Amino acid sequence: MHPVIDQLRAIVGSQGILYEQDELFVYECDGFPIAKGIPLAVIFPTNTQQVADCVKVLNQHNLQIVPRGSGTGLAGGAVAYDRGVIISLSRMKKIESVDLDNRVAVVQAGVRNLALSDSIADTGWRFSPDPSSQRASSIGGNVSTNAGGINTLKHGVTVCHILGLEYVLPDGKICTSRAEPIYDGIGADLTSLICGSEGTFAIVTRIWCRLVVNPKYFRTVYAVFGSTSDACKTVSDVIASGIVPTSMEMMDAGMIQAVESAFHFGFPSDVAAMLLLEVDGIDQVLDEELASIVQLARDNNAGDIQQCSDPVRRAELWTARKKAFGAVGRMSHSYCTQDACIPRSKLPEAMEHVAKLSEKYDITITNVFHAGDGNIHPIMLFDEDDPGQVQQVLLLSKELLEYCVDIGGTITGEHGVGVEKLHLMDKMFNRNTLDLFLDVKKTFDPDQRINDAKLIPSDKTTIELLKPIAANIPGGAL
Amino acid sequence: MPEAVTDNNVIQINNAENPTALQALVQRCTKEDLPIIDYGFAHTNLGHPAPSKHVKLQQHGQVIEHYERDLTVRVAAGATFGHIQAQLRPTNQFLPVDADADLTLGEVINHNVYGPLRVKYGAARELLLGMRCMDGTGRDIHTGGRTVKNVSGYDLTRFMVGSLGQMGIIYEATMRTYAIPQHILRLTLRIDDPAWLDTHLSNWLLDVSAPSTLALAYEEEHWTLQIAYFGTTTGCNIQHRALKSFWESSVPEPQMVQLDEYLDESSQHRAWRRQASTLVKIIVPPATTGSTCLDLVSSTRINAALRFDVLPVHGCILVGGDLPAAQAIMLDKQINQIIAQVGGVRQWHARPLGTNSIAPFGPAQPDWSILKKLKDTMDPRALLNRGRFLETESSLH
Repeated sequence: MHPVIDQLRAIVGSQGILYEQDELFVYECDGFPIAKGIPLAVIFPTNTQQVADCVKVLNQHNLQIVPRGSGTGLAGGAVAYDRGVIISLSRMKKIESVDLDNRVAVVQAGVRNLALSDSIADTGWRFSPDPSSQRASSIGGNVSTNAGGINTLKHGVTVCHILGLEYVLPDGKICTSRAEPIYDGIGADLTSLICGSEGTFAIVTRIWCRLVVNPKYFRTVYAVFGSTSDACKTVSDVIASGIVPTSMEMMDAGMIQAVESAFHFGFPSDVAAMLLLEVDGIDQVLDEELASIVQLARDNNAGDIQQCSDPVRRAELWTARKKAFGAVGRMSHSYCTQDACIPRSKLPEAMEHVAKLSEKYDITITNVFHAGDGNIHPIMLFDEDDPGQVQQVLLLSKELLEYCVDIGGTITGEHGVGVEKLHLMDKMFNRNTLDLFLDVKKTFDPDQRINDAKLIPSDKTTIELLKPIAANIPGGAL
Repeated sequence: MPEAVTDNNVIQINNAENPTALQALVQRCTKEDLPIIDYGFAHTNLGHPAPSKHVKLQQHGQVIEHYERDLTVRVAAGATFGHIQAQLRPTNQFLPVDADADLTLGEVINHNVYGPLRVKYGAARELLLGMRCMDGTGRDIHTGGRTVKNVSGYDLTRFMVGSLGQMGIIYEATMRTYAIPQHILRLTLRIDDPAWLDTHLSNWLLDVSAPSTLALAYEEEHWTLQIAYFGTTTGCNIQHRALKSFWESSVPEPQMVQLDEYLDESSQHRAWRRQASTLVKIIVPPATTGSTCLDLVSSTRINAALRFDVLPVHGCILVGGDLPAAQAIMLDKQINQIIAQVGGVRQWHARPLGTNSIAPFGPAQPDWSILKKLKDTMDPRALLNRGRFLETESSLH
């Protein structure tokens, strides 16, 4: 047994550490199961001081440290390589305070996203970020990846809702950034820099969350189209009109059929695409706003358009969207979800390009995505036991992401880089910028001991995925 | 690039036409150990004074590309808001920042300039999507992009918001734009007790009458709330009617205004437009904003000389006026006492002569030690706005 185990156990107690081989398999990967590594141990601190004490001990042994929230990440960011030790924040799940006068909640990093909003459900306020993993994912994890979600179109991504952070540096020092219930500090916005850093600077332990009004009134509509292009054009027209829906999601024919055959929501099965849109705001105004959107859909040859303000039907529609990934599992044993973001005006041509790539590589692709944000998620269906197909998926992914960068987009809109997209970072950024990223990383972590070689290429650690990119991603992954 | 020696010590650079020219400037300044100072138009007196010998950089710029259908715009950071808004207006779009026409986009980002529009549209953190900048070693850095979601690489884009020009020279930025509201209603309410906001603002924000923009002002010994509703005609009228119920006392009829008029009027009310000798920005927890204002007015007994421009939703208080040094020092002492009780920060944008004892920024923040290290990483010779805010080893030597 490694001598560090006893030292760690002394800090977190015997119930706060796993180190037996058979217990560690659960932690060999996150939601991107191609990236795998068995940690030396997994520890479960319950407070910040324990995290700091553990980090100091791990430093004495020169061990890699990998922070982990709920393990729902989709890019391999929480995988421990080189027998590193995972520090799981999952037992730091205390909502420490809710201050409605200042509209701030202070939570430990392991608090689940939905747990915070549920805890204040009767107050009229909520924590806005809503990744589809929100039932499981932790707020610390959301901070780590600057998570998106369905309503980010109107209400913004995670960083827009984070006021301050407490974090443990790689030397064990506990620090805070703008950690009072104040909305601005003095100097560069360190909180924003740490958000989305995928646990490569420090371990975030406490979060000051901004609370926003939970909208009371909604209108939801779905419109079906005879062509994907018409649906994309509608999205582009809605954005260009200046209307900001709460969310604007799209499913293509393959996905509609999969959802319908799995869950029987009553969607037509002979259409090419469906848009699911929602607006929120002042009750008496919503019909007016929705009418403008419906007209734009009609102008783009929408077929059936169904509107609803009935909460039950609304819940059904969003359940359909969120269950899309469960339905994919019925279509194919193996599938790989890509994540890229493009300018919204480019959606029609981008979706045409996706179809061409599908044909070129002979890989079936189905789509369900955050159309209003231009955040596409082509899902490639394949057989992971067929090395030829796996190779095709890899090549297709690379060509698709490079195309997205070429049309002004990015290699990831919300899932993060992790280890999955490290090889594309030099397509995305020039050499100077990559060098600066590494310099900034070393400013926080001079020995490159925290989650090294995640998010940015490292000059110390090389990670090679043993198997190509291919994943059976759990339902609700987007 | 255009260059002029304004006196023996200051070399004025009026523009750096392209990144290569900017890079050459940084390299030259590195070689000659000449700090590059860009304090902007409205923040000249903020923080410590510039070193006596320096290069004064004043960038110019313009809208580079407006992605009209994406509601985003790429702008050279030296472009003024007057220019940007004028370019966007024909497409019925605008950049929702309360910035004077003379302010450049770079200055707005460097100083996180915002006003009442932040209630509806957020501040630079929410609007900024991508950036191109030059760090203190002359590296041409591109971060973010033109998409509305992007999590590739470190977010050095948003990191630069409020950085006081210390981490890099912003060369261009890509921002979100918004459609100009169809209808704007504006009204002003007298309020006797601003502390009412501390306990009632959250409830108000939950109500239909929640304002799209909100400011509290104190002038000539009266407090007023400046409220605006942005939206459709129907929506604005509904909100105004709801305000009558919520407010429980008489509410004046609103004035319908165009966006330009709203922005112009808002601009006149911003403290930093006036050439006051004293101007301090205080950030406190929002639920203490009203009581902090009252405390300052009652304790300093210099209220007649002061004007308060307050953003209650964000706890931001701008206090300005023409004060003699002794009163400014007393004001600072009072602010520090209040911050010690309720939390917060303050920064002096303008101090009258004879007030060197007032620290321009404070109290010291827990993240400054990390920011100093990052300053050393991004600007190891402390060329950029040397000495203004974070004193690093390099700047001290």
